[in-house]
Amino acid sequence: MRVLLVDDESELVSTLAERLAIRGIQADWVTEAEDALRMAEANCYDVAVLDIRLPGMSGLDLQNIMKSKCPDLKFIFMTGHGSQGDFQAGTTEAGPDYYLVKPVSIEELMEKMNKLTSESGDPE
Amino acid sequence: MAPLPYRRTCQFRRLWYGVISLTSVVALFPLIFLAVIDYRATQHDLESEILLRTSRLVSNTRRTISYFLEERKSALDFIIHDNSFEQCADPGRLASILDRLKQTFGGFIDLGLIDPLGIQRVYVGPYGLTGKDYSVQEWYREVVTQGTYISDIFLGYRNIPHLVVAVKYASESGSYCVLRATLDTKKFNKLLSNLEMAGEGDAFIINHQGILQTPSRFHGKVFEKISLPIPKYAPKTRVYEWETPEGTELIIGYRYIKDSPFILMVTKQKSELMKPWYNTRKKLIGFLVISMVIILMVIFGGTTYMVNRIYTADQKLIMTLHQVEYSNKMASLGRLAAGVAHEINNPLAIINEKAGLIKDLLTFKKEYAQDHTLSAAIEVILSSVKRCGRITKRLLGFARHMDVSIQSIHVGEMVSEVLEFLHKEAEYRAITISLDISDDIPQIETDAGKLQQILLNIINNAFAAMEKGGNLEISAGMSGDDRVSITITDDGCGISQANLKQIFEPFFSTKTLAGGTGLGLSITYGLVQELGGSIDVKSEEGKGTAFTVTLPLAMG
Amino acid sequence: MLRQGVQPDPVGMAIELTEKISLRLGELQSAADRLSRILERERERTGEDAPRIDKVMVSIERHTRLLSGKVRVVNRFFRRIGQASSLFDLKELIEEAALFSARLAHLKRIAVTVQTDEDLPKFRSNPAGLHFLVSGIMARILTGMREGGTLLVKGVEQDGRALIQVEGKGQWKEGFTEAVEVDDLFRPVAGEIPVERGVVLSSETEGLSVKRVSLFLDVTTDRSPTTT
Repeated sequence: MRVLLVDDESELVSTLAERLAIRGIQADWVTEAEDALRMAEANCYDVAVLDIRLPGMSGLDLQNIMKSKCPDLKFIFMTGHGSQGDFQAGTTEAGPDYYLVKPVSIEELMEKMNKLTSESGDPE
Repeated sequence: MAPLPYRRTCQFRRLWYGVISLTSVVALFPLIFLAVIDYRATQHDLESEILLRTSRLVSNTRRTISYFLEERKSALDFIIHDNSFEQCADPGRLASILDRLKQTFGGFIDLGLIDPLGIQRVYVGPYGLTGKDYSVQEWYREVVTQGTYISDIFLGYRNIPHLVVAVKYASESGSYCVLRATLDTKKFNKLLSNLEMAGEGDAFIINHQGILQTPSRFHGKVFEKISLPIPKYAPKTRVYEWETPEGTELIIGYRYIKDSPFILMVTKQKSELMKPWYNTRKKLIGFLVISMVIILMVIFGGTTYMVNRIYTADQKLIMTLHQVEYSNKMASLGRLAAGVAHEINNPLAIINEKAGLIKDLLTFKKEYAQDHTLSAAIEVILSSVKRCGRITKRLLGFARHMDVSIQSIHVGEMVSEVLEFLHKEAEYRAITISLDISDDIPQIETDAGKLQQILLNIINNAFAAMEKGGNLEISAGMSGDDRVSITITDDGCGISQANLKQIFEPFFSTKTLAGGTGLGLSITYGLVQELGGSIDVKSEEGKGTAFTVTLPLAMG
Repeated sequence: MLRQGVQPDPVGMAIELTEKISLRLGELQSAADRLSRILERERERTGEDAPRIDKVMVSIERHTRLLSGKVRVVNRFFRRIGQASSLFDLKELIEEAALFSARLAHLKRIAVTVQTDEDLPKFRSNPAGLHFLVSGIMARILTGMREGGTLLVKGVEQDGRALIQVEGKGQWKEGFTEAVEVDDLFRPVAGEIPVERGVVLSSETEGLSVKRVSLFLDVTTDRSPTTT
């Protein structure tokens, strides 16, 4: 499984990638939305983990753009209790199965990733 | 925040004290004043009355006694004038006269005729005093000079008290004789004992030396010196107060009886006489005290009730005002502080991952997995992070939802409540308000405080946009099956299209708003979001603005 | 006899909670120290992983330290807010306001720089009011800025008064032609702080963007340390 992690906090996202690697999952990480698009175009990822709010763009908008580039890509959102609006938007759009609250539990993340990739077809 | 209610309580306490004190004084002062005056007047009157009555009694009694004595004297006078000297000198005639006297007047014991030499020539009676020589006796001399004489009372025949009455008769020839009679004091005493007197009264006669002539109830035995001071001579009745050595207060009335050795005295115990007064006084004081208590209770209760009413109403208003202000401020402060959430959460998330990484690195070496101190330390780090996370969640939770309380609200009622709160403002600005609340809106489950806040903020905004005499319309109706929409329309100055996009930004304002912080709409936006609803604005410059708030029937 | 209402106390809650977090962070810190010591002892056994582990431990300690600092600042803010009036440190206020604006600035990729005089004098006022004002000004300026750029917050002494100045440097949103009287905008908020006691606000705007706001505050000459 190849995973792309997108979060503006580099220390967080890099450590997360390290931990996934220890568990045998190849994870790339970026801190900018543009870099995320670039990487998604260049490589084929199974899952993209996005923070719900990135500087300059909301995670949902990024999702939409990325989906247009890689239609098979699955998405998981991370949120840090920052904004009620984002929270609600996240749950209505992505559904409760597809978002995690920071600080995330790596086991939960892996569980959700496995669930997404084991399902065939569009979860919607 | 905290000092204000306390300060107002102080003011109300002062008000309460002030009203109670003033009312009490105004109500009680006249009452007490009049009561005191009445008391003193009544007491004075009563005392005067007592003295007057005693005086009258004494006077009347004196008259009776005088009359009695005069009567006896006159009888003797008549006898002497009616009968010639020879007739009087006849013992038989004298004896029959005595008999007749006994039958009619009663009380005559003996009768005697005394010649100019002082020898009792004729005597009828039980004492056998014929031939007795009185010439050197005081009384004889007195009757010769004065013409009449009345004696002190003395113990006589059979130890019965008697008195002597004597009259002189002077003939044209210049010679004279004296007719003398002894009377018993039965009738005399009866005059006194028959007196009806209140207050443990005691009526008696003393002579000028203070020797009791008739029985006294309290002041001594007959023929003893009286235990009271001998009153000084006065031509008329005198009444005075006197305290006995034992402490009894007496009212004493006396009269010197003319042409007799007697002084009439009447004593009454003041306390007995004043008894009815004391009863009345007790009743008066009792009534006064009860009245005062009742008045004070009424004042107290009434004032407390009213001040409480004012206080509560005042407090409600203040609290509402503060609540609105406070809510707005708190909402923004909360928002500000909630913004700090990421600043706390992000580092926490980083620490969590790093600690997790350490755990991962170490658990992959089996040696460490069995090293308990190592795993213990790691677990503490991880659990501390978890706990911090939980507390942070609480901090954020309450910062945003500081007063979440979901209630069943009737939209129309809520709108009316909010309008009532603002009606003075509307009046001042001469703004006409019209309502159009649809009937088919069910009760909605939402946070009443927040909805109130939202409506207040929007309506306030509308007021600010309108000049004097504007129109405000509030309508509410169903929007689909599961949402309610409330629209507030004003015909104020409106908002330009360019500004419409920014209208909900914090601190965005297009005009000088007196009293506005430019925050109202951004807060409103946040609140509507918290209620799970949405807010929309339509406006045309110069025409007016319409805000529409759409809410779900039940908060998610 | 006279009844009094009971007010809720969110501020007290916030103080309590932030203190609890500080406690937990303290525990975390000591656990991390313990772990470091143990790992130091076991150095030989960790072998090739040693430098990597060290780096992570250092990072943990740094982040914990920084977070403790932030929580302390938040706690200090709530403590101050709970008072009706106090003499407080403007440096602290600026630090707290900067913390509150951090998220908004971060999302717009705007860097917040704080420059304060070491001995910036104290100011007596309703602390909530002034906080509100400064934080609000920062938010207002940030809202009008485009991505990238800096927000400079200065706290200096000038002509016997304290000057708090917030300035946005960068690119501004366009499209608005109406001027706005910012002074009037903030005056009601400034009214929370007794204006008679000397708060003067002046601002520079361009269109609807507020670019720079200066707050002149009459301060006391009392330099004694504040009790916070």
